[in-house]
Amino acid sequence: MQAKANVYLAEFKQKLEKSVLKKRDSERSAKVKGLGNITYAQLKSLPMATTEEQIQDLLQLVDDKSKKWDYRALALVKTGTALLEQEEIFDKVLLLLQDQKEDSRFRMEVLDFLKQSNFIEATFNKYMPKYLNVLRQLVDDPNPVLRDDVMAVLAKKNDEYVQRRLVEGLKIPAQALVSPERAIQLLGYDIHANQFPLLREIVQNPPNQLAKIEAVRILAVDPDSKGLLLKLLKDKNELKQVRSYSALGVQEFDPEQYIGFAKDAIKDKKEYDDLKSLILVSLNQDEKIPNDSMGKEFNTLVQSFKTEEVSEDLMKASVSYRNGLT
Amino acid sequence: MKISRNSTASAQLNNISAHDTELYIANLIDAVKGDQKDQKFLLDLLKENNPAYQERSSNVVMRLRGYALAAMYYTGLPPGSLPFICAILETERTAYLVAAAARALRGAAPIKKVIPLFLKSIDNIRLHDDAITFTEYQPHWPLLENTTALNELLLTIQYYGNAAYELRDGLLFLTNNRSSDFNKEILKQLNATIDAVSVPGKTKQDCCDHYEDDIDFKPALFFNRKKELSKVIVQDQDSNDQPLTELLKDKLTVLTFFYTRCDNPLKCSMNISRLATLAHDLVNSPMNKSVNVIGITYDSPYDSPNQLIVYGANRGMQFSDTVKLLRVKEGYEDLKTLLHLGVSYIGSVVNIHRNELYILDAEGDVLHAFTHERWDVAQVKTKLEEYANRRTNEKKAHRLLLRPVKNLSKTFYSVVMPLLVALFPKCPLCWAAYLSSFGLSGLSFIPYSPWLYPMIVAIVAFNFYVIFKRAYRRKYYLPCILSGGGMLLIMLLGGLLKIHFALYIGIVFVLAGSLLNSYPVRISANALTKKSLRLSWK
Amino acid sequence: MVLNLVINYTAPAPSDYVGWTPVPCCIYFTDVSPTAKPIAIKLSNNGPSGGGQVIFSLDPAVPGRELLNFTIPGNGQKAYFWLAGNVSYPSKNDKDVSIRIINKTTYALLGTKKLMVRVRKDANKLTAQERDRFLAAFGTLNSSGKFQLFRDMHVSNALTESHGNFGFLPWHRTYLLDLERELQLIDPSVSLPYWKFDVKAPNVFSTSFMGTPDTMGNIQFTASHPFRTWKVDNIVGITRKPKFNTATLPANRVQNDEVETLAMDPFVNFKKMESDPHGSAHLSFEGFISDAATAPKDPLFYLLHTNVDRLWAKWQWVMDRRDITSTNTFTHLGTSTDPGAMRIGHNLQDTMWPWNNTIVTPRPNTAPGGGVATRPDISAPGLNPTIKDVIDYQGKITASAYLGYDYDDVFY
Repeated sequence: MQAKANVYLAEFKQKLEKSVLKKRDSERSAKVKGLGNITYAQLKSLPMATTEEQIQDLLQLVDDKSKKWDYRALALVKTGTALLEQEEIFDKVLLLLQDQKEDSRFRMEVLDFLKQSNFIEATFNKYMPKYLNVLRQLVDDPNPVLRDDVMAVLAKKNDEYVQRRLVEGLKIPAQALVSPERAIQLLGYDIHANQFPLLREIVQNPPNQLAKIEAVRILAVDPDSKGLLLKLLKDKNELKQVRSYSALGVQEFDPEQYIGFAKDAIKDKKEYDDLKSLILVSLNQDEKIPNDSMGKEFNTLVQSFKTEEVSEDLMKASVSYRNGLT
Repeated sequence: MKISRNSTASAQLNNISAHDTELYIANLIDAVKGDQKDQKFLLDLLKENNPAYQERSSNVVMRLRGYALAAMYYTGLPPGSLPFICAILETERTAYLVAAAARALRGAAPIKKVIPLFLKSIDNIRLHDDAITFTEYQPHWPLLENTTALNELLLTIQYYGNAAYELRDGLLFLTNNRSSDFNKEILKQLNATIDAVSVPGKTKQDCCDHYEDDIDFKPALFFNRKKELSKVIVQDQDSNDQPLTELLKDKLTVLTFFYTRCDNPLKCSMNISRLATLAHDLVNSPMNKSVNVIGITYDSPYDSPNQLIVYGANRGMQFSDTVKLLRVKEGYEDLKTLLHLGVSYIGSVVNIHRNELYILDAEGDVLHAFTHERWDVAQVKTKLEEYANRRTNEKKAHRLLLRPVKNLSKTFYSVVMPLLVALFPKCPLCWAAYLSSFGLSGLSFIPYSPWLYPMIVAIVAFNFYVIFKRAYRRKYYLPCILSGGGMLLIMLLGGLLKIHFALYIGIVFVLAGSLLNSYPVRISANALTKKSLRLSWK
Repeated sequence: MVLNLVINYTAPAPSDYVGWTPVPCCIYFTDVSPTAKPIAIKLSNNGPSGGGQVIFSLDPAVPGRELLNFTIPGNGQKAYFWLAGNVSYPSKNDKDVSIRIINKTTYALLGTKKLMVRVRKDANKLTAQERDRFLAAFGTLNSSGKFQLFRDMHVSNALTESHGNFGFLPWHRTYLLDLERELQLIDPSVSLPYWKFDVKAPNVFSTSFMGTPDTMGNIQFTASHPFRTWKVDNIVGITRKPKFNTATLPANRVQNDEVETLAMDPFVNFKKMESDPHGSAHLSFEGFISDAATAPKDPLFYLLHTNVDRLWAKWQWVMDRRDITSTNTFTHLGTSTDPGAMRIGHNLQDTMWPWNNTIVTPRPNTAPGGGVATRPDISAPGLNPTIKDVIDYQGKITASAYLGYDYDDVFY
C-alpha cells in the first residue's frame, strides 16, 4: 500500500549488498595479505570472527606486543563471543587483564571486553569465580582508572570485599582507593551496606563539597535521615544540589513537612527558581498529593507566574502543574 | 586467639554483641572449631535475630553466618541447625553462604531431608557463583586456592553417595543439556558426582531423619499476648489505621513478613506472590471471609501505604477487608518480641531476615509457624482447613455442652444466685469467717504434719472469735452456736479421738456457721432473748 | 442523515491511533431511508500543516493515495476501504490528522475524523513537544511506583529468561510493548523513541532529554525536567558517564553499524547482535547502563532497546522474515521439550516469563506484573504471549497478530 516504502526498501537492499560485498573484500584482502599486515581501518571493517581459523589469527594479533595497544584491543573485540565457548580464551584474556606490564589503556579495553561478554550472562557466569577472584586483586592495582572501573563492577554486584575497602577508605583517608565522593557513590548501589550512619557524619563534616552532595543523594532514600534532610532543605545557605536531593527525601518520608515547605517556598521571592521548579514537578507527579489539595493560595500563586518574572523552566513547570489542576 | 575451657571463655562465646568487631567474632569461631562443646555458640550465630547482628551490613552478617556454618564441618551439626541450612539451600543466592551450608553438611552423616534441596541450590547459585575460601575470614586476593559454591554442593552430594541417587537424573540433565553453563572444573566435578551417586550398594545411614522445629520460637503465654498485641496499631495499604487485635478478631489469620527493599527475589517477592495466590484460592473456598491473609512489612518507616499497594499489586494481590499489606505504626517492638521475629536491622534497614509465616487464631495465638522452612500455598491451605474444622468442632462441642448447662443455669439464676447473693460476705468479719472455715476444711485433708494440729486449733479459734464478734453485734447467736459446736467436734472427737465422721460433721457445722454469719438479718431489739431464734427479714 | 466512520472496524474496539499497517475501515450512513441512492464521497487529509497524514485505498495491495473518491450506499449499508499512516507524514501531536469527508456532488462537508499516525521515532529527531510528552509520561510512571515493576523484570535472577539465548529479541520486544502501553495509559499520544547508537545523537544527550553527566557521572537535567525526581531501586538519580563525546560521535564501542547488523542473516546469525551492537552500546558508558542487572534503572536503556527492536523489525522487513514456520525467521520452532531445543523461554512455542506468571523451576520464583498490558483496540499479543505471538508484529501474515506499533523508518 505504501509506494514510497517500496522505493526505500529497494534503496536499502542496495546499501546492504554493497556492505556485504565490502566486508567480503576485506576478508579476502586480509587472507591475501595476512592478518598481521592489515591496517587498523581494515581490521575495523572486518566482520566478527566466525571460524576457528579466524579466531586463532586474531588471538595471535592480540598476543603480538609489537602492535599498538588499540590494534590488539580491536583484534580481541573481533573474536566476538568466542571466549564464551572456549575457556582457554577466557583464561588468556584474564591474564592480559592482570598483567601490570601491559599498557593500561589496553587493560581497560580488555576489561570492557569482559564486561561486554558478561552481558551474555547465562554462559559467561560459569567464569564468574575466576573473574571475581581477579577483579578483587585489581582493587589494589596501581592504575587508578582501572582500579575505579573494577571497583564499579564489583560494587554493582554488591560485593562484600569492595564494600569493606570503600568504607575503610572513608573512615581512614590514607587507605582510600578512590575519592570519597566516588566511594559514596559506589556504596550507594547497596542500601544494606551499612553506610547511612557514616554518610550522616560525612554530611556534618564533609571532606569536600562533592562528597557532601553525593552523601545527601544516597541519604535521600533513608527514612532515618528525614530530620537531617528537612534541616538541609530549609537551609538557604546550603548547596542547591543538596537542597534538591533533600527535597526528594522529605517528600517521601515527611509529606506534611514537604507541603508546608512547598507553600512557603513558592511565596518566597528569594527562593531559587530551580528549587521551585523541582517542587512543582514533584508535586505534579505525586499521586498522593493531588494538585488541588495544595490550597487556593498556592495554586493561585502558581497560576499567576508570568514569563517575564520567572525563569523559563519555572514557567514550564508551572504550566505542567496547572494542567494537573481540575 | 586461644579460648580456654573456663567460664571466661564461655562468657565470651555467649556474650558477643553488636559492638564486637567482625574479626573478633571470626576469631572466636576459629577457636571453637573442632570442639563440639561450643556448638551452641555456632548455632546462635545462625540466628537472624542474634543481637550481634544489629547495625552490621548484610554482607558482614552473611559472612559471619557463613563462617560459622563452615566451622560446623569440624564441630558437627548442632541440633537445631538443620532449618537454617535448608533455608539457605532453598533461597540463598550468595555463594559464600551456600558453600558454607554445603560444607557444614559434611560435618554430619547424610540427612535425607536436604537431598532434594541440592539441585534447587545448584539452580539458584549457578549464575551467582564466586571464588571462596574458609581458611581465613578476610583473605587476601587473588586466592591461590579456592573453592566455589557449586564445587561444595557437588562435593557434598558425592559425600552422600548412593543416598543421593534420586539426584542422578537431575545431574545428568545438567551435563547433557546445560553443559555450556558450567566451566571445565565443575563439569568434571559433575561427572564425578554422577558416578558417586550411581555406585550401587548399601544406603548410608541417616542420622537426623526428622525435621526440627525452630527451637527458638516460644509462643508467649496467652494473657501476655493479648495485652502486648493490643498495643500494636497497623496501617494498611489504603492508609486505614486500626489495632491489630481488631483485625484478627473472629477469624483465622495467615500472617507473613516481608519488606519492599528486599533484594532477594527468592524471599520477600516470592512470599508475597505466593500470598497473593493463597488469597486468590481462598476467595473461592468456604473459608472466604473467615480468614485474613496479611503481610506485615519489617520496614515500616520506608514502606508507605503507596509502596505497599504498588508492591502487592505488582505481585497479584487483590486487596480487600481480609487481604492486606500492613505497616506497623505503633507497637512494633512488642510484635517483634511476641513472635520472636527472625530479623535484624541497621537503623531501620533490614540487614537479614528469615522466611516466616504464621497462622494465628482470633486471639492472636500462634497455631502454626513456618519459619525457615519453605511454605507453599497447598500446605497453608491444609493447615487452615484443619484449624477451621477444629474451631467448628469446638463450637459444636461447646453448644452440646451448653444445653444442660443452660438448663442448669436457669435454676442457678433463679434459685441459687439469690441465695449466694444473700450469703455473700459483706463485711471484713464475714470474709474472715469464710476464709478461716475454708482454710480449716482444706487443712483437714492435708496429711499429718507436726504443725497441723496447732494450726487447726488456731484457725478454729479465729473462726469462732470472728463469728462471735459479729453475733454479739447482731445479737444473733445461731451461727456462733453452730461454729462452736463444729469446733468441739473437730478438736475433740476428730482431732484427739480421730473419729473422722465427727471431723466432717464438725467442718459442716463451722461452714454453716460462717454462711449464716453472712446472711442478712435484722433482729428487733425486743426479740433479743434466748428464745429468739426466728429470723425476720428487713 | 448521520455519517459514521469506524477506523479498524475488525478491532475489539475502535481506534484513533494508526501506524503503517493498513487497517480496514467502514463508512455508512444512519438515519436514512432504505431506498436512498448511493452517494459519491471524497476522503482527504485536512489536518494542520506539518501534522500527520493518512493514505487511503480500496485494496491494501494497491498503493494508497492521499485522497480517495468512491461511492457509498445512501441506504445505510456499509462501504469498506483501507487506511494507513502516510510514511512521509507521521503525526507530531495527538490527533493532528483530520480526515475530511465531503459529498462530491454537493461539496457539502459530511464529517471529519481526527486520528493520530503514531509511530516510534528517532529520539534525536523528536520535536520538543514530542520529547516533553514522552518525558512527562515516563516521569509519571516512575513516580507512581509502577515503573519499579519493569525494573523487577530485568534483575539478575531473571536474566536467563531474556538474555544469552534466542529469546533475547522477542522477550525485549514484549517488554517494550508492555512499557509503551503503560505510558499510553498516561498519555495516548506517546510512543517509545529509539536511540540510534551508530550515529551521533546530540539532541538525545542534552539536559532537556536524557541529560548530561556532572563530574560524578550523575545525570543533570533542566530545572523543570520530569526526571529530576527519578528514583528506582532505592536510589535517587541516574548515574551514567559516556566513554565518547555524545555531541559529536556515535557510541564508541559499537562495531556493526545498522547496515552491517542487518546483513547478519538468517536468525541464527542475526541473534548475535545481542553482543554487538547491543552489548557494545551498553558498554559505551559507565554507570547503571553498563551492567545487564542494573541497566533498566537508566531510562536511556529503553531508548537503546527500542533501537535494538527497530533493527530486528527492519531486518524482518528487509529480509522478509515473518514466516513463523521458517527457521530463517526464528531458529528453534518447537518447544523446550523437543530434542535439541533451547532452554525454556527461547523456543518459538514457549511462553515468556514473567507474563506467563509461571514461577516453577526452571523459571524464576517470582513473576512480577501479571500479563502484558492490554489495549482496547488491539488483541495481540494477549496477556500471556508465546514467542510466536510477537514475530509478525505488523500483522503482515496474520492481520490479528498486529501489535499496534511501527517505526518511522520500517515500513509495511
